[in-house]
Amino acid sequence: MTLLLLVLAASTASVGQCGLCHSNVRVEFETSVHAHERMGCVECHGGDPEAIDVDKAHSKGFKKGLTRFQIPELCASCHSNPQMMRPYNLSTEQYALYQTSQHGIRLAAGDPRVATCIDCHGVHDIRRPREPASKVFPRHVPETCGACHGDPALMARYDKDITLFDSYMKSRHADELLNQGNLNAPNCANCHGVHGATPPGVGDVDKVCGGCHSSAREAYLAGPHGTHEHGSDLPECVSCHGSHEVGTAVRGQIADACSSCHGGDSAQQEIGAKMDALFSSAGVELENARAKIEEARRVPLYTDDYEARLQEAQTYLVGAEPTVHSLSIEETERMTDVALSIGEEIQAEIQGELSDLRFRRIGLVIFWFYLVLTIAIIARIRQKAMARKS
Amino acid sequence: MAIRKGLSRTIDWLEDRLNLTEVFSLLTMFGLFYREVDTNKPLRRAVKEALSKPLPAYARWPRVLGLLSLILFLFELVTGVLLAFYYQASINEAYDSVLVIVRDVSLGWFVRQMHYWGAQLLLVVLILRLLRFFFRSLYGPPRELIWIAACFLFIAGTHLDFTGRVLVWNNASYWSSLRAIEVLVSIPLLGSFFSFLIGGSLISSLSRFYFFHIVLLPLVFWFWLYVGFSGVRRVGLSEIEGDTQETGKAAYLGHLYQLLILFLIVFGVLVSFSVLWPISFGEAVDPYQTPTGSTIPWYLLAPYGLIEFLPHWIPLEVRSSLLLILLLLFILFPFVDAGLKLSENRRKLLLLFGVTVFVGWVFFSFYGLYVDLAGVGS
Repeated sequence: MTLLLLVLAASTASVGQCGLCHSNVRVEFETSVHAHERMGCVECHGGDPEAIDVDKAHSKGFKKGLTRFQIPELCASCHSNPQMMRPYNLSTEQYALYQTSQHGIRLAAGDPRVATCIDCHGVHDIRRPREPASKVFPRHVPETCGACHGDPALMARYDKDITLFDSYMKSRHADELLNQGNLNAPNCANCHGVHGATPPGVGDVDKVCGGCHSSAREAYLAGPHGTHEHGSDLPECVSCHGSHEVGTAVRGQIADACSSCHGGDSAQQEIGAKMDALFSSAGVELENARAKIEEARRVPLYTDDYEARLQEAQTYLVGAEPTVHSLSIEETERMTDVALSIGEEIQAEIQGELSDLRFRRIGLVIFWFYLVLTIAIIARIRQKAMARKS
Repeated sequence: MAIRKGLSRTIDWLEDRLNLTEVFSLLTMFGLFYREVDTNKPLRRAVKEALSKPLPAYARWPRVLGLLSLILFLFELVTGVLLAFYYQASINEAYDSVLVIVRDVSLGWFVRQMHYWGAQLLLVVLILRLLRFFFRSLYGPPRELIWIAACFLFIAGTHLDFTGRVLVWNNASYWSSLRAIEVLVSIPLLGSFFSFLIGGSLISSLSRFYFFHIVLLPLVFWFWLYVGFSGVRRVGLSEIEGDTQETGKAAYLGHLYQLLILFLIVFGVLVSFSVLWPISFGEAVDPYQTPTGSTIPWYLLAPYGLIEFLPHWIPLEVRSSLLLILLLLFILFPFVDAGLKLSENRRKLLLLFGVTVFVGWVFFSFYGLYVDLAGVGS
């Protein structure tokens, strides 16, 4: 009776009787998308799911001793089949892409240590990539990649830099992704590719970065760095911004970036310094405008319009940032000037309204003049009235 | 002459249909006339009789404090009604409605500033009045009730100020009030009654505060004003050196004019405060973050300081019971004093005691402020 109950409890539609012995695997498997789609153990492992007898269960096409070399092909047997994948709206090119990746190429060359499907997606507990618990959910991608690419022993074999993972974790991209909850911020796969993972080649960096930073790329391509008018080995995005460790571009540090290649007192450094000055003067003006709005809000004056205009000015200032990549002062100035003048206008207008308020104090003097006059008149009337009555 | 005749005829006409003397005596209850009038007699005779008795100048410093509190209260009433035209008593709308009042409504800022400064001035006047009563020994028989009325006027005044603070619903006022409620609900008996009135120890709704502020507490205040003025009419005004007892209509008219002048001066002072030191509008309420530098209302700092000053191994209930006992002793002070039966020499010691209490009040206020700002209290 107990055995029967156990059998009933352990056997489910997808696992069959396998879970009787492989209970740990069964528990893991039940969380997977495959279990959810009613796939069973036999789909990958073969064997007889209805048999309770160990020997019987491990017969009938049981695939004994699956190796890492067989895994991509095994997964591809379903995932490269357009008919099977169509209901799930899944693409079928992953296997082909994988074979073009460094991972796939080395696996084919007989290296079993490179990543295969299971290293990123999990073994029995494979989940949909959009599930937050999935190993390939955007927020988990860095640590999934980092499990191998941050492993000193493993990377030493390939002479690879293990600091890249740590560099990325310090970057603005990682901060957006992991701390700010911005799932659109790039993880490893956004720049390196997913199944066809490989480092972007020289000359491709601007295309990769430009995928998101399109206006910066446009300006870069129009400028002297992008047109390669002085040779082909000229800087790309990473030359100034760094690659994995890419930080927040800070207004006011443009000249430093220029001088790092062109030298401290070069004409190029001067251009950078002028751009820095444009940003800082506009920035200061907008900060002053914000303080003025705050002052007006405490009075309180009606500030909604000013706030909207400050927002507009800030948009111009943000819009001026990509123009820096064209290295044309006129382009940048055109944008920062608008921001600057809006900032000045806001301050001047609020100042005008605040001066109107000072009129109240002048009014107070006039008020007291008439009040004292009135009191004097009443006192006089009082005197007269009292004199008349008595 | 024709006007006078018309007026006289109107009074006769009304006299046949109304007890005009009764109506007049109602008016005089609020400090406009310091003589009792005989309501059994027709108006003109009753007034004439009342005027024929000697009357000290009652609109005269420092006797003027009672009248000042009436005038300030009237200012609060008028500005309060104006504010109520636009104010919305709900936690979602209060802040925005105050914003509309001070920003968009014409002269709304002025009315609000007047209301605020009027309230602060009123509290100061009520305190000065108590100090004068004490140091001039104006609480002994038959003036016990006037003293008690003055005490309750101050208590009602602080409650009005307190409920008003909540209504503004900006961050500083919210936290200030919340801290005050913490102090108030810790007082035994009174505390639980207080939390019953406001519905707990948190501010979750403004309707009760609004109701207390615009209906219940003004009525209470009005009642104690009446008790005070009525008491003065029965027992007479306190005596000041150099008082001249005048009689007749002229003297009374003189007082009325003086009252008008007083009214104008108060108005001028309030306008000046409002224009020169306008209170700022403040941030919206954020119930999840205590702003730095938020303190409880100034009149609660001393009780708070005292509670914090006493050693903390004494249970909070006992410490705050002491407050309650002190408050009761203060209100019932005329009877305590009478019970002590002090000789003239000892009376000087009593004055010294009064000074000590006042200095203690100031000390504990500063101590409370220190504890509050430094956050060393429990």
